[in-house]
Amino acid sequence: MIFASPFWLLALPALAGAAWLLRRGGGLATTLPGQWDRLIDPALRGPLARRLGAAGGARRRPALAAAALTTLALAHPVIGAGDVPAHPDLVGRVLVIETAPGIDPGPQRRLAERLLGPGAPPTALVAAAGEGYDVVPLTEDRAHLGRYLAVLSDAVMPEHGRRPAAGLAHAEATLARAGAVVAQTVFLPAAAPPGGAVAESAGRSLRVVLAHDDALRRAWRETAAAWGARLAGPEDLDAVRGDLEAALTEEAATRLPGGATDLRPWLAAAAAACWLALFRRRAEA
Amino acid sequence: MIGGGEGILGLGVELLRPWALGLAPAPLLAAWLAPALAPAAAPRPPAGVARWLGALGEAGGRKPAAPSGLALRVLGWVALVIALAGPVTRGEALTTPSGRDLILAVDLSASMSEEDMRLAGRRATRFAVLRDVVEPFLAGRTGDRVAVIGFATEAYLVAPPTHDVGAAAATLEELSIGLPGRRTDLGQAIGLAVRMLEDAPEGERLMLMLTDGEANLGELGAEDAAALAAGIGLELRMIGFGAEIAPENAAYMAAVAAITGGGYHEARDREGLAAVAGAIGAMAPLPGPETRERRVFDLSAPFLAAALCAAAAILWRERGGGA
Repeated sequence: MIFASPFWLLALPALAGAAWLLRRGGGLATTLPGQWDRLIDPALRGPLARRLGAAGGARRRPALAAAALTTLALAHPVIGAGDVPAHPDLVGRVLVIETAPGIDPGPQRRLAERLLGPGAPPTALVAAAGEGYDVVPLTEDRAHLGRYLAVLSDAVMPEHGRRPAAGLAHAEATLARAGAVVAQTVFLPAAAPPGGAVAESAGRSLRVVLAHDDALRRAWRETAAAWGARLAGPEDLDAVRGDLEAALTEEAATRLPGGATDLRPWLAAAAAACWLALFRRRAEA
Repeated sequence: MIGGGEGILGLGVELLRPWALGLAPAPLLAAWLAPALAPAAAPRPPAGVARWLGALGEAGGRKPAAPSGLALRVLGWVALVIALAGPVTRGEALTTPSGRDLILAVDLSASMSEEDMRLAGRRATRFAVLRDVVEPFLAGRTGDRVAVIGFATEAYLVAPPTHDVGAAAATLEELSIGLPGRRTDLGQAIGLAVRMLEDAPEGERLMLMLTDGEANLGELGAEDAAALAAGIGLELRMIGFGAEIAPENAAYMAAVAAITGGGYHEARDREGLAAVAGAIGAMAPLPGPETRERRVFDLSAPFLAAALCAAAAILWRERGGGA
C-alpha cells in the first residue's frame, strides 16, 4: 500500500494531540457556559468547566473519528500501485546528447549507456547541436539505441553549434508526439552552458541535467534551475531512475483505470458513517 | 456513472458513484431514528437555581444546538457525500496495445526511382508514391509496435520497434533511394526482421514488404529467409508495386510469402497501393476507440478537505463540552 498524498498524514498527530487533550482535560474549556461564572467561585470555575467538558464527548468522539478518517482519505491510500497497466504510451525517457565542436562525447555516451540497462523504459535519443535532431524514436531496442549512441558526435550533425534549449524543446516535442504520460528528459551536456542556454523551454516531463563531472555540474547549476531540472552526476543515476519510477507509481495509483485499488472511497464512507452520529438529537433533561 | 460526455454542467465532471448522492437525506433519519444523546453535555441547573439565573436574564447552559453548529454539520455531511460520489474528470485516452509487431520493409533499390507513376496529376517516382500512401498508413497504426527497414543490396533498420507510430512514419521522409545499394536483396530484409523479432515478446507478427519485385541479388535466398520467418510466426505480405510487374517476379514473391502463410498483393498505381493498404488494414485490425481507457483525475480532495475543516470547527466549538 502507498499513500498518493502522504503529506496529509502530518495532520494525524495534531488530531491525536487534540483527542488526548480533550480526553485528559475534559475539553479545553476554562470557562463555564452561560452566566454560571457569576454564580461559581473563581477557583472552581476551571475544574468545573473541564468536568462539564468531559461529559460532553458525545459529539467530539464522532467528530474526531470522522476527522481522522477524512485525513486518511485525503492521504489517498491505494493498494497494488506497483501493477502498472500495459499502455505503450504510458512512460518514456528521452536522452538528449549535446555535441560540441572539438569535445569528445565519450563520457556522455558512457553515462547514457548506464541509463539503457535492463528495466529501462522506452527510450528515445535526441541530439542537440545547432538544432535538436531525432536520432532514435522511443523504443526498448537497447541494441539499436546503443548503435546510434556510439556514432553520435559533432561531426555527424547537420548543423553545428550549441543550442541546448533547442535540444530540450525537441525532446519535449518527441515525448508529446508519442503521447508519453509519464516522461523524463535527461540532458547530457558536452561542456559548460553557452550564452543564452538558460532560455526556458515549455514541457511537462521530469527534467534532469546529467553532468559527467563535478566542474560541469557546477557550471550547469543555474541553467538546470531555470529549466526546473534535477542536477545530477554519475553517482545519482539511481535517483534519476527513481524519479521516473515514483512518477509512474503515482500515476498508476491515482489516475490509471485498473492501476490500483483506491481506498479513498472506503475511508470517505467510514467518515460519513461517523459523521451521521453528529446529527443525533439531544434528549431533554 | 453520470455526467459523461461534457460532464456535469458542461464542466467535464463525472461521478463514479452517483448513487452516493442518495445518502444526502441520511442525517434526517439519523436524527429521527438514532437514540438521543444523554443530556449531560448540556447541563441544566436545578430548578431553583434556574429560576434565579433566569432572574439574572439567563436560562443557564448553552442551547442544545446552535444554528451555526448545525450549519457546520450539514456542510461537512454534504462535502463527504459529494466526495463519496467520486467526482472526476477524464484526461487523454491511453493507447491500447494491439499485441502486434508490424514491420515495414521498403525497397530502396535504384528501380524505385523510376518515374512511371502519377501523383497529384504529375509524374512521380515509385518511391514518392509509396511514401505518399504508406506514411499516413503507418502513422495510423496506433497500438501496433512498428519498425521500418530499408533494403536494397543491404538491409538496415531505419526505425526500431516503437509504439511511436508518428515517429516511425516520419522516418520515411529521411529515406533515400540507393543509400543501401542499387540492387534488391529480399532475403536480407526478411533476415533482419527475423533477427530483430526472435527475442521479442510473443504476439502477432506481420511484415509488409514493398518492392517493385525486381529481386536480383541474394546471399540469403528469400525462400530460406521466409522459412526462418515462418519459424518465428512472422507472416509476410509481399506488395509488388510498379506500373509493370513481370509475371515471374509476381509469382516469385507470392511463393515467398506463401512460405510464411502470408500473401501477395499487387498495386500498379497510387490508387491500387491505397487499396492494398486498406485491405491489409482490414486484415490486421487495431483496437477500437471503445477499448481506449482515459486517465482519471480525482476531484474529491477539496470536498474531503472541506469536511475536515468542518470537523475541526465542530471540535473547536465542542472543546468546552457545549453543542
